[in-house]
Amino acid sequence: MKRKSLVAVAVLSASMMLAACGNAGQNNAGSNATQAVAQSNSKYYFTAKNTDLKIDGNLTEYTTALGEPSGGYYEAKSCAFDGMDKFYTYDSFVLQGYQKDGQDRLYAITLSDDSVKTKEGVRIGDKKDKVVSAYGNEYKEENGQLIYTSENTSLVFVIKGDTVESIQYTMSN
Amino acid sequence: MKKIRNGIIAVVIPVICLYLLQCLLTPKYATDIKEGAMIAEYYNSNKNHDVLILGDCEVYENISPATMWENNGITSYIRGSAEQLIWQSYYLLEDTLRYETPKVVVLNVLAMQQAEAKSEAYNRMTIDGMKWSKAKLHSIQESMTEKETLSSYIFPLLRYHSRWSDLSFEDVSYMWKTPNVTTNGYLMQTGVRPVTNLPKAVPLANYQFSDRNYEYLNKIAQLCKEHHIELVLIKAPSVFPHWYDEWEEQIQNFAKEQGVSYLNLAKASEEIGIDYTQDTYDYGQHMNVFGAEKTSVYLADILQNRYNLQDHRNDENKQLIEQWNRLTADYHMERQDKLSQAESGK
Repeated sequence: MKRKSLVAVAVLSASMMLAACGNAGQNNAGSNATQAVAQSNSKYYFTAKNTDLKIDGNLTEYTTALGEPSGGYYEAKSCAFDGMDKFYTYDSFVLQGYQKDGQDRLYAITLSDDSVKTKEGVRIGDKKDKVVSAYGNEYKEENGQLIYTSENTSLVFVIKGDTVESIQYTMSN
Repeated sequence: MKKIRNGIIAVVIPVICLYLLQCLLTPKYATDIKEGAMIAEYYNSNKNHDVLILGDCEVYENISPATMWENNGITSYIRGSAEQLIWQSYYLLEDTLRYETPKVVVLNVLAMQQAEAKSEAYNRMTIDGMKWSKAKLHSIQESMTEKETLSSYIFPLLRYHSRWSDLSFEDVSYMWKTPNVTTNGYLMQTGVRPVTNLPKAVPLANYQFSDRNYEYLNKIAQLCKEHHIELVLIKAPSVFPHWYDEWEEQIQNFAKEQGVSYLNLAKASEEIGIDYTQDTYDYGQHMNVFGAEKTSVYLADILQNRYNLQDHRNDENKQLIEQWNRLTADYHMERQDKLSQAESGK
């Protein structure tokens, strides 16, 4: 009887030790789910064909509104996991999507030539001064990039010399 | 005396229970996300490889050791894992050297552009399968993301105890031993998804590889020199993600400074005979079995000619030949099965 009690105590203590771990490992290591990012009202978004393209917005709605991507569609699977990055190449910009909760969301917009400009009027080839006068001094400078962040969106200007070489709206970390 | 015995029982039984729970709850990666099982699988192999191949998915899906054996009699093993980082490759090399000293180490350089660990999930797939050693400990310390803890690597139960609701038959079946999911580290893909178009390469603000990656690439080169191993850097064939000229130049310079070989197999695609309408299963990011076999024939020829690697097919060691014959027979069976399945699924 005593021995049985001892075993019961031992098993119970093992269970308690396990329970004591609490929720330390709640995030599932076997999943590549991107962290949920609440859709926000960032002041940085891009407009094309009268459609406001917002980071983390519904990609399917956007691509339906924009029509067939002239430069084609490409999808890149995550190594080992089911996640998929999707690329829609339009005339002067590329939309990059990701999957969250079974839905395609907008992850990034990359402007690819100077025929399009941001809502605030900056385009590839403009001078750095023009970026600063359009967006102000509240930026982070990192490796030659000017990064403006609002809510869930970072607007990134890659500057080469004194000139804007690339413009990208992307999900902020 | 009784008190001591009772005390021991009170300690031993919980430890055994916890150990059993850990065996049950740790992911097995046998049928899903097989990439997680690859690193541990190496320890079951006969450690007599002339060539060790390290790197990310661009090695374990693009190079077939069975083909390198069949065409050149080269014995090789791929210690690849998803998103394997440069320092993780270094520690896997250290780990491998505890068991064998290959003549050639092939390292894929795509990971040089990755400065930080991406996620715990990828860390786990590379590190959890390593046997305990200083190399594993250092790999953990160098890789951990903000929310990870060393204790959860030492006691995986701390990490996986919440998998109760995800348990499947696989967790019970493979509680003690998981089946091999690769052929000497090669994870076979048989689908065909041709390249039709590619997204434009986005200009980057900074093309410079990180100091840490250079530090570990140097350490790999030094470790190889200390063990009289030839180091061969490769960029495996793929068309996405984009491999920038600025990255290419840095690798070329490094190889020149260190006196090691660098093969850009992506640039050699035509020479290799890769047909991106047939030889890729995911629009040009990785090879399928057809592309992997072509790449392996090309790579094996270069390695054999450049480093005089022995053709073991006529080796006096009959056991070795039998071992590889079994391995290639299994490989062809898997190939046939998968291709038949794909055919019938059309």
